[in-house]
Amino acid sequence: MVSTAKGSTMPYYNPFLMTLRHQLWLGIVFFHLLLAVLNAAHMKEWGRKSRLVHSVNIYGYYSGAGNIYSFFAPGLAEETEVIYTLADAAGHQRVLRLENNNHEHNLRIQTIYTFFGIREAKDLFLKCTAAYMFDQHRDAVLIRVLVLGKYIPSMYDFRRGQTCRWRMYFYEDFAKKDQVKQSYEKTYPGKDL
Amino acid sequence: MKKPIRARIFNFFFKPSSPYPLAFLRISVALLLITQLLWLYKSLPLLYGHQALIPWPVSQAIMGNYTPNIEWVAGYADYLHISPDDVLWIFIGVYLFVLVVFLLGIFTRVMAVLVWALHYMLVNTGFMSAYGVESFAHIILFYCIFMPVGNAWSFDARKGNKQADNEWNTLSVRVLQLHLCIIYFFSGIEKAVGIQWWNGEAIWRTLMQDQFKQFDMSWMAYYPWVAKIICWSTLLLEIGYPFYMWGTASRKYGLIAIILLHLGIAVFLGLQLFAVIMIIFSVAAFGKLKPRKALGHSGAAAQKITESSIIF
Repeated sequence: MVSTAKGSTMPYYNPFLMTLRHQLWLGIVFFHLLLAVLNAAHMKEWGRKSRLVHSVNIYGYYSGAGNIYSFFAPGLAEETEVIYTLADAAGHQRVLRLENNNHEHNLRIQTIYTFFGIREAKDLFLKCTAAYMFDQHRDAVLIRVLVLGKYIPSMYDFRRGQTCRWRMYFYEDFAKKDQVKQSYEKTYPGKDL
Repeated sequence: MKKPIRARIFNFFFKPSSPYPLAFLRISVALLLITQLLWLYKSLPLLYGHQALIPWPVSQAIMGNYTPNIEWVAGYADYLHISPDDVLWIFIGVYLFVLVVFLLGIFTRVMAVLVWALHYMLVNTGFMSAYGVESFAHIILFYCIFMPVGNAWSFDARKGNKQADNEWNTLSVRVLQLHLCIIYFFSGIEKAVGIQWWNGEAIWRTLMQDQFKQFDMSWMAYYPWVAKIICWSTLLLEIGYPFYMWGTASRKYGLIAIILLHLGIAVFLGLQLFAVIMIIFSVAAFGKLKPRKALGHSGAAAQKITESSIIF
């Protein structure tokens, strides 16, 4: 390939044609890819917290060079499922899930639910999901958020008769206190809640 | 005579090449993101709305103040008496419009910046629902800001002689190639650390999870060697990616194997968007795309992209 650079009659493969612009871009590329390697190698967990590291991390977030590529790795966590039981003031109950027949939608809901596995975040996410359901179902006065995990036996255990099954992780009840109280007093006059 | 190392580096990164792989990247990623948006149209308030499953203030608190999200826009929209719910739909409308203009290659550089920024804001707003497809779209869109992705198959390309080979196309494709090598290699290493990818349990557990289950694959428990072979092949393909993709003879087969791997992910795990974006990424980087016919500049309509072919 013989082509010429701007303002030059020399062929491209001549190394002396590496202008400052070429060198600058090569340096940027090197920095960017080096950062991609370091982040892929979990640089953020190495423990150094300086202003420079923080700035580099921000660049990583903005550029995509800060990603860790641990898809399905090192192994698979249990699948999480959330079931919502809603009760209205009259005591009628409904059981709902947020999944529907849109597979892409379901993948995203499931991705959110995996965060229930983080112990520190569990309470926050329980409150968020309950608040969402209260907002969507204004008639509900009581909501139970039930979080389940799917146990999948190993191939060996499956052959020996074990089956996949859902098991309860935890649940939490959320209530619109005033409305629950009113409803209770209506149903059981004279009794305290 | 052997070329000096400096000349080799220069040739590797700057020997002029065609703009078509980058044009393919622009068009296919824009189409993918439009498809994703339409696919999730009804779920957008649930995932990204003001009163989403994970509401804006919570997302913002977790992500930190330096990551832009839709709440930033909503703060300004408040002065115009636009409700947060309307902000989401206006934002989506603008994002869709910008994606279409980017797809057509009109003011490509400006549109690339806008698409990247809007996509990043959207992802940050619903970051807890994001998975691989968002990560890779973000990487590609960032590259689209700097790479000459509008030099072919675009309205911009009709002005001047942009479709000629040049060294910046080569540098861009090299960056894509090297980044892909990093992605696959580390992805493979991360898997190899876990025992599940050695004894076949990883693929078994994945196929048995309801979120990924497309077919009843419980028969695999009785043929564990099938699961082992799939897991080992995945490790081999991912860790080996930086090696076989640079061999002239092995690249063709490597690319076919990677495409088949991702087609398998699409069919058996239902991760279609993820599979497609990975195929796009690999084909743009390593499938030497070039048009079958030379395309003229005289037509009024956008140049057709259907007459391209992949040459390994």
